[in-house]
Amino acid sequence: MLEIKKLTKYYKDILGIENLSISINRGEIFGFIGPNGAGKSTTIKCIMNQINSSSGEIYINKVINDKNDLKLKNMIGYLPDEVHLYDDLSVNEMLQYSNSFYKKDYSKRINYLVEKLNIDTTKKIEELSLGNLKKVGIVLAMMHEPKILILDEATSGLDPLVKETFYELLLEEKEKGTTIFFSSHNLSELKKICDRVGIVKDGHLIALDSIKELTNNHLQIITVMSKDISKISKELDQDIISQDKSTLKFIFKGDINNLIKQLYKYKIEKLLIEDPSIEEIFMHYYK
Amino acid sequence: MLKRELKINRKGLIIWTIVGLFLFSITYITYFNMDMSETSKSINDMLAVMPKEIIKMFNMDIVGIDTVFGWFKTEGYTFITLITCLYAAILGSNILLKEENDKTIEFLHSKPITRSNIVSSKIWSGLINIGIMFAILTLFNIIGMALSDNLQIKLLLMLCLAPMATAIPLFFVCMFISTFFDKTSKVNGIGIGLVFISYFLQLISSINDDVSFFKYFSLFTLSDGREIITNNSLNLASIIISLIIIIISVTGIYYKYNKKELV
Repeated sequence: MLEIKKLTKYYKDILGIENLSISINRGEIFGFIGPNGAGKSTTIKCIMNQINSSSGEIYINKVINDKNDLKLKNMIGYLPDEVHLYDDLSVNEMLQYSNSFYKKDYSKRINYLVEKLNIDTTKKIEELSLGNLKKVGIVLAMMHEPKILILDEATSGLDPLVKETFYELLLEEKEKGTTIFFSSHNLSELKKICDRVGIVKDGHLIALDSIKELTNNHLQIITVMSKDISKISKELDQDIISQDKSTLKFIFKGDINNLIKQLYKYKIEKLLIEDPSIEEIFMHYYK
Repeated sequence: MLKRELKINRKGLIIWTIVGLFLFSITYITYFNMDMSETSKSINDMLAVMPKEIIKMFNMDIVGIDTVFGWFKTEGYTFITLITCLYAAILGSNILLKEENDKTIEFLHSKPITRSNIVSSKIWSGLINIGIMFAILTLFNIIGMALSDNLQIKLLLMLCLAPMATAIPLFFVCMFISTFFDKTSKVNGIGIGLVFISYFLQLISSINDDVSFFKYFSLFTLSDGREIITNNSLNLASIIISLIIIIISVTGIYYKYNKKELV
């Protein structure tokens, strides 16, 4: 449904994203995660044709994503990370103005979303808090029953209750076959709703898999307590989470038996082997 | 979208039109209450001490300002030209770029609308607003002149509408310039500067033949009041040049905006 082929974007000499290739199926919720400046927003801006890619192509429903293709634009719903709307309008006027761009009248759908998200449509846009503005943004993105949803930090500014409602809406969309591209920093929500996740770092895609596979990749959290911590740390040369005089905590990938053999020569007071949390897994990729 | 555009630009149109109407009102009230026999003498005394070059700049060498229509042909024409051109320049600088400046372009661009559609709506909205301003000022001056028993309708109409030959190209030139920027604050200064530099060049070009070449660098030459007053007709060449500038600018606007990175 959404195919990105070798997408590259340079801002003059500065790399935004390089050689990104992702294929997202119909009805899939695809999570897109990475640290700040990794290339998430650049990717989204290229999908939305807000900026020009340096090379590569983006296909929607096997058709090249041309900025002037109104049929394709009709299929896409977009929620930016910061929602900026017309301050002089009320929420209702803003929604009606958005509705006016479509041939079909989506008033019924608008009313459903407004009720679901509990939005006061009589308020002026300029009076809205960031969270309420985001809710209006969600309605604007979803009101026209798009086939593809592009969501950039969709839940930032939303309270926990509204987030839950939003996840319900996304799952409703998924049931209908909507393809969802979801950029986020929130690892638990990615785990909750995404089918697959792509991790970007420094403009490159460094991992792409289902959450299950990413969390089942034989990573383990090892905590070692010993008087020889500095020697152990030097010898093992692992992805360290934390270290002090007597305790070393690190992410370990590999055969645990080899690790035990390496630790055997030291006097170990305590050894703890745990499954990593999803946060710890992603931090491993981030580094 | 056009309806929305007309609504959001309404405030600016009202303010600028009121400024113009206010200035003309003051003048009409002043002339209606003047004792012309005394005033004529004062005016003549004032003109006698003014440098010839200044008198020529404001067409006071070919027109007397002892009547309201005489004033209109000199300073009045300057008023109407400057006000409409400043309005057109500021409108052109902002009307398209405002969406990027306010970041509402992310919303607008996500709708099933092409960039060319956006440009077209903005252009039509701008032209309608400029047209409304000209219509109101023209009507007001017709009424003012009719009340002063000074109505020479053909010449008055030409003088009221001729500034369009500068205002509309300015609107499009400023709109084209705005396609190279992402903030309105940068472009507003350029638009206003373009108006005043252009006006200044046109003014000093009338001093003498040595500096007359400056007129070729000024958009205000396209609506030169002196030619209209002297020949009692509009300058066809000016209209054609205006149209050429408009066509080039419009082409540039559509081309550049379609290529532009909007965020």
